[in-house]
Amino acid sequence: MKLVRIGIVLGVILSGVFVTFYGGSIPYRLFYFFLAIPLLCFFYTLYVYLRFKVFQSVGHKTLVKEEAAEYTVQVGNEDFITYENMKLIFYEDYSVIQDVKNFCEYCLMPGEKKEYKTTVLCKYRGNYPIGVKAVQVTDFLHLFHITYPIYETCKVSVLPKIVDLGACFFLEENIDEKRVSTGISLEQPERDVETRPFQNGDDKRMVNWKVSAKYQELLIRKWTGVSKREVTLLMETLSYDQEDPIAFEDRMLECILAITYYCVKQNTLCHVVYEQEELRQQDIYDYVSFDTFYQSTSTIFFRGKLPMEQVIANYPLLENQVAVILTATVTDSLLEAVGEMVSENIKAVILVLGEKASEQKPVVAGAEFLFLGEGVDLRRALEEGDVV
Amino acid sequence: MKFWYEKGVPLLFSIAVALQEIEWMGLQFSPAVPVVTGLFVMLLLFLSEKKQWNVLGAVCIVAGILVFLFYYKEIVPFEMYHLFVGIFALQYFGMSALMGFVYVKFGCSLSFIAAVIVLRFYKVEIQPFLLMFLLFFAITSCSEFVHVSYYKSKLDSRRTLGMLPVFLVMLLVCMLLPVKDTPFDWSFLTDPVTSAYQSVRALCEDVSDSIRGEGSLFSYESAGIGNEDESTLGGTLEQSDRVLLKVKGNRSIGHAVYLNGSISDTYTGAGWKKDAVKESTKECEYKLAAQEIAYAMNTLNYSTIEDEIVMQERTLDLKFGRMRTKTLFYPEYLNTLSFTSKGADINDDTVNILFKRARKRNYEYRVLYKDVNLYSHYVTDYLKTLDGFEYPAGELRDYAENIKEKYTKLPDSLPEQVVELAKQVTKDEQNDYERMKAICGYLKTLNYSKDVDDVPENTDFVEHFLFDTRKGYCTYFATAAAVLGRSAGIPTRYVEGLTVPKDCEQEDGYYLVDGTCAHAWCEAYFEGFGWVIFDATPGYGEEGESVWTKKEFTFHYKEEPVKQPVTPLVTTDVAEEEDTVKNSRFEFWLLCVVAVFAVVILVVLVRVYRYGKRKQTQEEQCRFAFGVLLFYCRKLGFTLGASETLMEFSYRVQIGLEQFDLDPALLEGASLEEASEVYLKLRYGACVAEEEDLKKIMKVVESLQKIYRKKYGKVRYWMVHIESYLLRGVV
Repeated sequence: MKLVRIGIVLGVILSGVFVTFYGGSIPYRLFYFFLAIPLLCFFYTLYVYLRFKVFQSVGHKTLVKEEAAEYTVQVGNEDFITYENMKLIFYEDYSVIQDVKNFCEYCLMPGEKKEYKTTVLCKYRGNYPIGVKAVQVTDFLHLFHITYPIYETCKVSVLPKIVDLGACFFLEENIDEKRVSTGISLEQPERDVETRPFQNGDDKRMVNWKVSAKYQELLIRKWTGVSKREVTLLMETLSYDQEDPIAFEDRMLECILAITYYCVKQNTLCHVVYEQEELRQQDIYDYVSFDTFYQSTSTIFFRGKLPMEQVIANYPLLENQVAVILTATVTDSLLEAVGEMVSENIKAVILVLGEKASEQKPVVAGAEFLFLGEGVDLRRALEEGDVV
Repeated sequence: MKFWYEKGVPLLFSIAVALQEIEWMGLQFSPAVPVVTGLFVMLLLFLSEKKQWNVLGAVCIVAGILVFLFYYKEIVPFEMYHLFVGIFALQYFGMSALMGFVYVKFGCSLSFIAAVIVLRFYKVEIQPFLLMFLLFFAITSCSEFVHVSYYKSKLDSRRTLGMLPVFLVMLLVCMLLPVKDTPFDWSFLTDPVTSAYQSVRALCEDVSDSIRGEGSLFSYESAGIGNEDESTLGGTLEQSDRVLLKVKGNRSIGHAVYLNGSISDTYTGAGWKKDAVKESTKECEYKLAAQEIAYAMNTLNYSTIEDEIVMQERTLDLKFGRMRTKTLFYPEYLNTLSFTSKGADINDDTVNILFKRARKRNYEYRVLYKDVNLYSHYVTDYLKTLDGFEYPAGELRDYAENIKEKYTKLPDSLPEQVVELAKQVTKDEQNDYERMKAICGYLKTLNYSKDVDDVPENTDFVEHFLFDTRKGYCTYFATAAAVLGRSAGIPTRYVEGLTVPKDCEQEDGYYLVDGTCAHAWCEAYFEGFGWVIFDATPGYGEEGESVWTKKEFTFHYKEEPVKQPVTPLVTTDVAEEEDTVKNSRFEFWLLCVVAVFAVVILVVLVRVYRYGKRKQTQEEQCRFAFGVLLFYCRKLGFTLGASETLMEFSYRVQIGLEQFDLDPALLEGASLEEASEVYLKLRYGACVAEEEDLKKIMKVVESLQKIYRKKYGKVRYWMVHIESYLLRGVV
């Protein structure tokens, strides 16, 4: 409303000239009138801001990245004066409110309330406020737009999304348990078709009643352990100078979550090792432990000091384990450390999550490298072991 | 709420303008009349809104009877009142019509503000209520304009109603802020230090005045802020240098001007009292004095005197400085008073003209007076001849007798040696004028001194001055002159006031009259002339006659119209001028009414145009066209009967039209029955209107139009055509 502004400025100037040369009620009151307008407009916006009511709520306090959640915003005028123009300004860096244009601007009559239900989509994991960030109040002549912050923001914890892998390219082969003594787990028993006579101490639930009836002897199923490699995921939490650090962090966590979730599904014991002021290990062996780790991902910070080679050096890996190293870049020292790991019969898989893949693919015999830069389809990359 | 807004605002507007009109037109209406009338109109509108027709009718009848009984005789005979009522109604309906049009309202509000400014240029003040309303209307319409322009939607009147508290706060602020009659002083920006200093000083003085309870009457000793009816003279004098008064003349004065402040008549032996001057006469004293001087000038035939200026009409603009008093300062031979600043409430019954409330700095007024050349030998010769003169019987004679009786009294305690001295000084003089001159001459031989001891108790003030100290300041000389004059049998009085010396310091064209200009002098009365100043103080009243010679007379200031509005006291010329102003205001107002009327018509036309332009469905068009058809039938004398069906009506019209003996070609292809069938089909048959249906009806309408034109001529046809156009919504 430039015209109104110009009009008021002209009014002030002309009435000022008028009152400079003429006394009396008309020049003075006109002068006061034009002077009072901008002042009153300002105080009006302040008053409206102080009296304006906005309520917002989200379906859950913990959301999952890129999953829509219910979001309700309610604005109200419980006053006796009209709120000429209110514009809600939303947090847009981390979250997106659907159809925001339909309800971001209002003129509220006295006693009027408006409620809008929509969805919110969080773009990144972490703890941050979503919804209304500030309110822009415009006066009744549209002279000023004054933006006031909202102090009671709606804070949510956003968890990274879980990519459900159908397969994982580096976890498909089982090892011969006869040849190894460490780095395997037997947690997932499978039924053997063979039977043996029941012995004291055997679990009655394991009795094969059909065969026992046939042979008139209490026979019990034979069970054989299936050997699987334990997986250790080593996550680098250095703060790299990335263009979009949050996206990088999310990618790394999603990658870890995808692998751990796959491991849980496959009953493969896995450990996640990462630095949070100190080196921390989290064992994931079932859904409960996975969920514990998953819930903690929203608070993992990437301000570590240990580069990956030092993490490897500080964490003792066992023979035959699969060591999945998640790092931003591949350095010579890391390659050396990986070389040592391979020499200790540890399967090393290096997932490089930097923004750009290096031109020359590093080669360490026995180790697998996979670049998971920005825009890479995680599912496909992890299932097939190649990035297209 | 919408009702109260759309009807209430025009009502307020009408009441505000009506109150202004009452003032401008000088109507004898009480201000309560438009208010009550407005509320009554509001009640009627409310009842009509609620469709309470019976109550409405009853209220109208009762009100009508009451008006007829109580006001008929007063209202009907005067055309002005008719006009007033007409204007009131026109305003109301005009404004009501405006309420629906945001853009027009905005334009009107701007024009109102422009009109107010124009009025100010014509020095026409408008009432604060009207001004406030116009400002309210301006801000409301501007806000609505902005709202509609921004949201591109129709205005919800709830929105404006919700804004009313905000606008009212703003108007309250505008109302409460101080308004001056002088232009705005920007010195607080241009010279903030001095301005702040002056403000603080003024504040301190105000506080000081309030604490001391001063601010009533002028007195010499307190230099502007005394409060005694009786003064005790004597003692050392300390005069302040603060500016008490600013004086501007319309032309070069060239000699000292004496401004009367406080006039006393009774000498007590220790000072002066105001006894006789407090008694009011039938006519204002200053007007009687003006009559006396006019009589004297006519007798002198002063206009025929060519070698000397005997008398000049002069104007002085007086502006209060750092002084707070009820005293109105005026020069001798005052003619007219007019007040530049607000507040013309004065008490001029006595010779001491007083404001009813104390005035303070920047209060401004104007005096028109006759500046008489008391040094002219024509005047002095005339004064010398006035011994024994008496006015013919009448008001002036009574006035003179009264003066001679009261202004010659002396206290019994007056020492004999004072009287003896007076006789001795005046023994060789032939007339009163020369006696007074001799007394002044004698007194001027005494010493002037501000450092004087107090008069001892039980000692006569004049005796102490004349025989003991033989020194004093103006009050001593003035008192002595007055007492010696009375001792010689001449009516005299003691006057305290301010003198404007000819070499007075100036600022912005004003002479600055400070505390050192406070002065006292004596005046002697001459029947046939009036009061004449005799200043016995050494150094005063000794200007030569040269300033009055015509060849040296020069205009110092140009005759300029005064910027400020002047509230004149009633004099014949001023009254005529006032009538002229009133007439011009009336004409101006009539023009405004015409303009409002024009706006109303414009609004109606715009509304009709917009209604016509709106998008209509085929069915609406058909219904409207059939309405027009019936309208033309009615105009041709065929009205649909109450029990008549449309088909019967069509048949009757068809037969009737044939009787008009018209050209058969006019009706060719048009059938009223067919049109009626179409309408009935649409109205009751739940059919969808088609273009063909509309064409059928329109064909009949066109035929009827042709018939009407043929029968009644083009002029009437066009009038009816416009009527049909205007009644689109109704038909």
